[in-house]
Amino acid sequence: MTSPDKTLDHRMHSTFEWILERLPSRMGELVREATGGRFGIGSQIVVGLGGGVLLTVTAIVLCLVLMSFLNTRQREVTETHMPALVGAFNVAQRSDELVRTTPRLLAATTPVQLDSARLEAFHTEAALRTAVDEVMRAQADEGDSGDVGASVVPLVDSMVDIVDRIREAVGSRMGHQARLEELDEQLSTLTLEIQQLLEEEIDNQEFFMYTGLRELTDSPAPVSRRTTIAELDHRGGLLNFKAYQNEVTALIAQAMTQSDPEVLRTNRERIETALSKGDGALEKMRPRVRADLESRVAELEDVYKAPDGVFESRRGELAEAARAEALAARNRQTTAELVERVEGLVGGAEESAQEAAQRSSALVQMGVWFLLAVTAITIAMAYVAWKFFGERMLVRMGALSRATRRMSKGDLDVQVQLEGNDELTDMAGALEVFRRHAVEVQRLNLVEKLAAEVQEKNSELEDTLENLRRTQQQVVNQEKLASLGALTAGIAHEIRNPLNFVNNFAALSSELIEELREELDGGNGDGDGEMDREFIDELLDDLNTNVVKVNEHGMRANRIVEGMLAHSRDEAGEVESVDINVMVQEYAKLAYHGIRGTDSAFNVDMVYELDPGAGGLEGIARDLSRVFLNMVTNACHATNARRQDADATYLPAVTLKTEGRDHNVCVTIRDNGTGMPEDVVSRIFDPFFTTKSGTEGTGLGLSISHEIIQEHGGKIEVETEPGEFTEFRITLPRKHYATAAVPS
Amino acid sequence: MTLRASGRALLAVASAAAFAIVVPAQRGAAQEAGAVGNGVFPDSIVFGQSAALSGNARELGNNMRLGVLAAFEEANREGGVHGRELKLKVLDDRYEGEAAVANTRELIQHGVFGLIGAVGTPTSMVAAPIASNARVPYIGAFTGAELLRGRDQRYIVNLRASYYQETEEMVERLTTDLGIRRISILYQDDSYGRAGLTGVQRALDRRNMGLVGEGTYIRNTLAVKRALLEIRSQDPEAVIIIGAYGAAADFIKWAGKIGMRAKFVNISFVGSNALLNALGRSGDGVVVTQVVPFPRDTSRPAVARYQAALRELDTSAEPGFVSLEGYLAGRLVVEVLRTSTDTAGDPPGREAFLRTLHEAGPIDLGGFVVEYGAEDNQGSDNVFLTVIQQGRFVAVSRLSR
Repeated sequence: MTSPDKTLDHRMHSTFEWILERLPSRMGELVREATGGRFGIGSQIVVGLGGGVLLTVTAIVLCLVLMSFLNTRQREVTETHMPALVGAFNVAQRSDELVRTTPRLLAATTPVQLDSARLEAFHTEAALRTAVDEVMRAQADEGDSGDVGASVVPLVDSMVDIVDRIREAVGSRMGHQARLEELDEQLSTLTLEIQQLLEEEIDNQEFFMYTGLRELTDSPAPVSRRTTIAELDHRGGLLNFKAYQNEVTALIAQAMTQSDPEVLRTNRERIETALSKGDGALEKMRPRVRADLESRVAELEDVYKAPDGVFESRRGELAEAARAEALAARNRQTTAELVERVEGLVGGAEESAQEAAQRSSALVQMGVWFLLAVTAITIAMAYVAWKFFGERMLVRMGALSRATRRMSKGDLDVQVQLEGNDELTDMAGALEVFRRHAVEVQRLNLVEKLAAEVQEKNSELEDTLENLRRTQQQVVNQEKLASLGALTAGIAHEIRNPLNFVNNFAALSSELIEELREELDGGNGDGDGEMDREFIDELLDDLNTNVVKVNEHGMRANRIVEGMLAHSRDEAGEVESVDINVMVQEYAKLAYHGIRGTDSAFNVDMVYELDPGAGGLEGIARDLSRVFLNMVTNACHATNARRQDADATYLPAVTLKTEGRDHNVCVTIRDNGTGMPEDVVSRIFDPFFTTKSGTEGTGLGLSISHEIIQEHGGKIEVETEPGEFTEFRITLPRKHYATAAVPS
Repeated sequence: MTLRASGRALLAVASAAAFAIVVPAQRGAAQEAGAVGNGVFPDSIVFGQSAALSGNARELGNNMRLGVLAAFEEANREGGVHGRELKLKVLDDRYEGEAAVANTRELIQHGVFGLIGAVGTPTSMVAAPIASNARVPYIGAFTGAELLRGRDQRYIVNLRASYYQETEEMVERLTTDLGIRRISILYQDDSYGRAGLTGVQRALDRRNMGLVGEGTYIRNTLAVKRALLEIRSQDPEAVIIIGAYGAAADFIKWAGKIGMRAKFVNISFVGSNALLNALGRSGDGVVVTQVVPFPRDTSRPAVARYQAALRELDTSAEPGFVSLEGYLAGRLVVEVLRTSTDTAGDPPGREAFLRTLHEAGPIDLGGFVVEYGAEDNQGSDNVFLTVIQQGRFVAVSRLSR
């Protein structure tokens, strides 16, 4: 639990109490009764949910109020402005339709189209008038004077009038057109007839002038009759007439499509000229043909000149077209005016409808914002409620639950502290009490367990100590055995010498005894058979000498064995007087032969520089002999090791030097072996340190030697050069044990 | 008049706010007059014909009408087609292109199923495209013009052999049977005559020959005498005439009068019976090529039925080449209509009619077999030869002096 939470909890509950205090007494009591006087979980949920419900209800009520406003506005738009607008649109549409009638009338090519266009105009007119009436009514409803609507009416009247007149003009124009089409057909029929007539007559005339034949039944006319003036004139007239007639036909056809009245007049003059020329050509023809053609020409003239002929019809058509065009221009003017007014009408209706719609949409907008705001506030409140009640409750319950879980797993370090004053704080308090109890119980268990463990460790330690002691003893014994081993070979060599003497003298004595027996039995080999006493005595003397020698060497062997036993005896040695030169010599030899006994290749030059005045000292011979044996053995091994790698010029040497002084004796053991590096030198006296591999050394030799010398009050100094030499200098006081009493 | 943009937007807003505004649909422009049906009515199927019923070519038009009607009435007596009576609406075009165009438009607007039995090249050449554009079948026109034949002319249904086939036959017979080398031509100075001229020239070209001369006359006139003089001066052994019966008859008669001795060969279009009548006794030896069998040759079932049908229609009518061609055209229509249906039992539309026609394979009209295909709109390739002997036609297979 972090401190802000605590503060918040605390503040929340104190606020609750603060409110409770300030409530009217009756109500305060009721609340206190219901809540138990504290802001418990129930109260928290009621306050959170209740706040949300209250907020939602408020928002809904506000929305309903807003909706009712909106509804009122919309009804205004629907019932007042929309009909006016729709009416205005209607007027606009009908006007548009009416305006479009005119082009249709002008474009009509058949009376049927014309009539249908007019009929449509009637319908449109009626619909327009109805629409205008509606608008005027709507304007009156809105309190408008209805001027705009009314002003449209005369324009409509005017337009309808124009439409009627256009229709009249177009109808009349169509009449002329129809007549022209008739005339066109007449013209082509007439032209065809004239052409046929002419062609056949020209054909006949030329055939006659060539062959003199006119009819199949005729016989040929003489040449003089074929080319008379009359015949030639007839032919010329026909050909000329053909030319003029073609011209007339072409000109009339032109007139039918001529749209310029001026050109139309010129055209008329040309037609008349061509016709009169045609008349001239006709006069030259034979009467029968001439009559035929003249009647056709009269018809042709009629087609053109009659009051309903080509000329007049075309002129009328052009005039009507011009009239219709003029009317159409007027109509356009009126149309523009109508459009303007109607647009004003539509604009007015649009404006008021737009205003109403804007008000309405502003309300909608407001509603949207309001809803957004309510939503935002609701979300915010929900968030706050969640933060204050939900999440905090969850956090606190979570803390409680976590603490419980951890405790159940045995973790009793967690402390449960919840601020506030509700069911959760109660639970937290209870949990804390349980926890303390549990901690106490745990502590007691721990003490018991520790005590048992200490006891166990103690007995283990004792066992270890015992083991250690035993091991120590074993190791020391081993060292003793090891040095004994080194001695054995040397001793064996020492013992073999006296034994050889004993054996030799024994064998010699045996021979002497044989000789003696022979002499005693009957003389010697000279055959005389008589004892030679002198010879017997001589033999007995020799025997005696031999026995003395045997005894002497036996004694010597006995001494050696005793020494060896003394060396290996386990009990504390006795202090005695030791001759240092004898001891050094004796044990150097033993060491030398010990190595030779196991390695026949081994050889070293033992150099003795013994001070004859070295004298003796008081000490434990057995211990000191171990020191020298060990030191010389090491020295011999060092030379042997160097020899393995060195060339033939290397001469292994161990120098033993004694030096007698007033109060002490100094023994120096120097070898020219491998020497020792610095790091080895510093550790040579440590127990169990060895540079030898495997089973060659126990690592205790020098450490025990060092101990022995120290016990004798002496010291060991070492000087070495790797690959050159090693020199141990042992200094021993002469009277250490004499002054310092005998060790127990 | 236009509504202001803001007004439209506002209107849209108002509509969106669920205020339904019923705007009356714009009344469409006045409908184009004359809705076009396909000629199939509950009790009838109507065909149209524009042909020369007056003027110099009236014999042709009237006889075509007679032949088509004979075939239709025959079918109607048998119960019609798909239970419907066949009807023919006929308009006179006086053998003039302009009138033919106007008539064709009028008939299509009237809603005919198809156009049948038109007469003449200049008329058909302008009327057929109008029918094609309106997707109305143009059936059995009395013309052999090449322009109406060949690919991409789905709506044009030719019955007879082409002018080229006829002129080829003429030249073949003249050169082979009679060994004639000097050939002249008289032709009407219009598209019909020029089509014949081209056909003759092609036939001669193929034989490494040429015309020795030519003469022309103006349509709808009898003014052939100057041409006669021109042609006589070339001294031909034979004259091929591509013209109308009146002019052809005049030419032959006047040629006789001025002592010209040549073989006169006419094309089917001349109108054989009319020519015979116009020539009278001076017609002996005149040759006419035909595209239908000899109308008195009742050994052919088609001709026998034709004669019966003709008598049934008009007891006074004489059998002739033109009415036989009209009859065969009518029979073709009846046969195809009877065998084609849109869906079971329904009378076919125009497209189904054409599909049936093109996919039917050979159609035997009774000894006269026609066959059409998607790329072939000409039913028959047959050219028949007739000669006038003692005032009447005789069918021959070879010419003789």
